[in-house]
Amino acid sequence: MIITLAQHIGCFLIVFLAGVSLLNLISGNFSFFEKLGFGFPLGFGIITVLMFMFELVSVKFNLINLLTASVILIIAFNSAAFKRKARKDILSIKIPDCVKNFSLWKINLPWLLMAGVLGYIIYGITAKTLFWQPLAYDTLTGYDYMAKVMAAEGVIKNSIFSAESPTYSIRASYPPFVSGSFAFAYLCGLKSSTITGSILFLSLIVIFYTFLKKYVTHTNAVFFTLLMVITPEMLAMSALSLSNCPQVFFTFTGIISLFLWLDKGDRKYLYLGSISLALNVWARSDGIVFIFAGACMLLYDMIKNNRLKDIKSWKPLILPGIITLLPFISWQLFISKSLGVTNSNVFVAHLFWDADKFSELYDLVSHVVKSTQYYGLVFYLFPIVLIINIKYILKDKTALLTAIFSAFFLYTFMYYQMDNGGKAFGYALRSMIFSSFKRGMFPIIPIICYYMSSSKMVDSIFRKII
Amino acid sequence: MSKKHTHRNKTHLKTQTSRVNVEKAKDNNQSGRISILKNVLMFFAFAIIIWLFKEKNNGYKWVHKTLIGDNLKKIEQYKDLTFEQRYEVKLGFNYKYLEAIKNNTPDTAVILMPPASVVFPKDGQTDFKTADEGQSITNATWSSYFLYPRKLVYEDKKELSPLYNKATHVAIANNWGYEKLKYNVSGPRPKHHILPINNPPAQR
Repeated sequence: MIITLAQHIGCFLIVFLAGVSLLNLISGNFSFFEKLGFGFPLGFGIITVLMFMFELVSVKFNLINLLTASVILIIAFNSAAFKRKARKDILSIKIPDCVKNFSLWKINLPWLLMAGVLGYIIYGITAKTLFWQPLAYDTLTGYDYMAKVMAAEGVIKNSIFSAESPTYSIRASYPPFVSGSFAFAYLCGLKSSTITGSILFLSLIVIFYTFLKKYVTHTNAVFFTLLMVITPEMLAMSALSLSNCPQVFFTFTGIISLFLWLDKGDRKYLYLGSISLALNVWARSDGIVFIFAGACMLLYDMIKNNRLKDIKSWKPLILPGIITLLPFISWQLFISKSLGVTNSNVFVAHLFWDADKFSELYDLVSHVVKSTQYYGLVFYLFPIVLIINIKYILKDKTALLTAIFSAFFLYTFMYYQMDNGGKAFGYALRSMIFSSFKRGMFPIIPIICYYMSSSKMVDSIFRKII
Repeated sequence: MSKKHTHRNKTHLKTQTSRVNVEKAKDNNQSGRISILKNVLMFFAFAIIIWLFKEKNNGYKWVHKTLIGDNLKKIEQYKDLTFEQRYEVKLGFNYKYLEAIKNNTPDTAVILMPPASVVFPKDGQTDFKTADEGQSITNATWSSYFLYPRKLVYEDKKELSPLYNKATHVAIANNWGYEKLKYNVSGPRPKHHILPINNPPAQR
């Protein structure tokens, strides 16, 4: 049993190191907590891209060849990083300042209280996730089913798509990040894939706090981390092995990384943002909305700084733009040419105006957004923060606000454009809003919490009180 | 020294002292020191905020009491269950039935599954959990999750399945299915069973 446990740990350690190595390739200056937070998500991204690559060259993947390829990438990425003379940065372990300068006089009781509550919530939801097997309908007929078959057969286009006895659902044709990450757990010999979801959720919490700390105090950061984590519906879904919560990590880090590049001018965040947004759409195709939201944010910044017509401003965006869109294009081509699955009848192909549909959509979205059972107080606090921050709305983090509103309206517009058939469940607008849309809002929650926390007035209030 | 001069000196001294105190406070702030009173007051303030969130907001109340609280109790209650037993707790007889099929058929089996009218008869007398979001044995994809790599064919969808005539086993449910076998079953006939279609299972 100890050998089996060591094998499992070894497999996941290689995934983590692959993710950290990718970060090293981008820059040697990522902090310890950034590496800790990004290691597994980027690592799973690499593993699932490798699975896709093996599929394209008609080679069956298995644990050995995936781990071998990962080790080769670890060596290659770090060699390239060392060549860039980042060796000293990569190999140094930077002790966080709060640890270096710790003293009893600096103990922050409110922080300890909120961190304690956060710790309890994390323990509870992780225990739930790991104790129970995947049980949700969407995962048993989609993500985890696909994962089991991928692990058993070593291919993405597998027997569940066979013409003789097809058993695939629409979710089996979702991009391979979620199913592939779950499949990796099965390839490692685990009986259940739920550990993957747990790791991704914990990574989100680490990165959310770490990114917040670039702007705010520890007390502020832990308060809004707690507020983000206890979003009821999102917390519940994080335990169910679905695709929404994994996507949340990449959407959040993608948008915020792009924002950090705009705000701080540090180019590593541009590349990190583009990779994150690429993996966001590698988890769910509807993540394309958040790529457009990121583009709106960049466009706003260019217009504000009169750089729209400056070609030099566009040049640095070419490679990141390609990185971001490549997974979406590749997967859409794969499912239509290889799997023979299309989503052509999901959306109305032309713009139209339907006042009744618009009114129904408005009512349904309002109902969902106002529900504290789904989102807690996030959508109530947000307008309050906007109001108290009104003096700085156009001066501070306006680009981020642009991304939030673009994402919300583009995502809602997507549901307006859907070709809703009859009143049967799964296609009627009402059922789509209360199932799919409700979960689709999850990526926006952490971004809103981030904006609220780092807004000038909220930040200054927290700095005054403790 | 005149009174005015002394007063001016005292005021100057006060100003200097308060300037030093402000500098000290700034230093303390920058060095991260927090006064004990502030620490304790803010601790209680945030404790009240957390309590208000937990008690007055239905969503957060549900997170605390149901999502986390009740689930931790259930985990404690079921902590000694095996992997398979945990499935049975959540999925009931549906899982038990499929598990029996899995344990009594080879991986290459093609299983003839009962129609929905047999699994969920009109009189409601059934051991199977009522279809919940399609999580029933009548859902081929859902059932395949537990029975993979076995193939499934359904009696009520036989026209759509080229594998119907290649079925190797019959999943007997609510006494349906014995008539599909190519041999007579002597002895007791369990209500639910899994049997090979062509030859009776070897006697032990």
